[in-house]
Amino acid sequence: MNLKIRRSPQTLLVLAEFLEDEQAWRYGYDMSRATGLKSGTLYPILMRLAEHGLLETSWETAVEGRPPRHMYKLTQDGLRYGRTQTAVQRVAAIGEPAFGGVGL
Amino acid sequence: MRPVRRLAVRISEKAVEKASPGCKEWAEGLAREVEFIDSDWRALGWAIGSLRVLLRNPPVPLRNAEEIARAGRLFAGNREHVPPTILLLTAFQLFDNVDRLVFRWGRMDHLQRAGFAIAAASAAYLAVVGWMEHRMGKRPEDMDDGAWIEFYRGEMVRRRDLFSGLGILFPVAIVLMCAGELLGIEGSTRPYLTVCFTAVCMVLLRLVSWPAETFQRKVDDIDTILRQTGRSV
Repeated sequence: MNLKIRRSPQTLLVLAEFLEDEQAWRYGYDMSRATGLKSGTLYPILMRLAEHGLLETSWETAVEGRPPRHMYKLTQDGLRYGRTQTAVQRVAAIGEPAFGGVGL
Repeated sequence: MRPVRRLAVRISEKAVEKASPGCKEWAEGLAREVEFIDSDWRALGWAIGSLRVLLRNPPVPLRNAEEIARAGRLFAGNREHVPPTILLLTAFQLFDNVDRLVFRWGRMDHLQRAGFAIAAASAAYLAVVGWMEHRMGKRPEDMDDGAWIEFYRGEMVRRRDLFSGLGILFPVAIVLMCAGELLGIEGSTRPYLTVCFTAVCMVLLRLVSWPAETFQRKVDDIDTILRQTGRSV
């Protein structure tokens, strides 16, 4: 998948958090608490993912006395993209030699 | 409600009000979350962060006739409440440059005079086009989706025609205005700096969509949806 999304550590953090429970709808504030990202960082990432069709959004059904909340979930493309990107990150982390590598 | 919480709510309401049509839903989503944050100060931090959404301006999705009508309503709402930014900025620029030319003429060299004259002429052109762009036809008074679709398509066609006619040089004029300002700076390197800046901008202009193309694409999207839904174009 060739997407023009900046693969920042924050984006990977968000993708990884969605992959924790792939089928669950997530709220913005809960995502913010789980990832430690502030709203001003989290939402532009969510918006970019949605613009690329990787994230679907929905409004919660209104419950009496509680306003409906906006919810987010990765699409099938998003799940594929998320798995690929987090795998790439893991490989990069393993392949990166500690302290610049030690020649034997 | 405590003052800090009230401030957080006010800020997020403002963000919803000012968000571009493509961001409205996101701004509303952000605003709703404020009510679910226990700490008042954290809610305030969240609301301040939501202002960053205002910096994004993604295109409004146009997938069906209802969304076109919605885009039309948002477009009309934004036009009525948002000041004509381009017009105001360029009018200020024009005033500033004319002021320099009139009152500092004797203290400037030829290059500076030429620079400020180019900047003033470009600003005048941009102000005229900006004013024409900001004007809007009569908005429909009823709630009928058909009327709003017709209104929105009409506005997009008018802008496409403006930017492929009189306003065709709009992006070039922005570059010339900045180049003129650059030429007006004192210093021996400014001609080289101006030439380099203009050359880089002209190359960049080849890479970006020009306004007429953007509006044409929007008209095409609307026409495709209208054809698919069996409405007359």
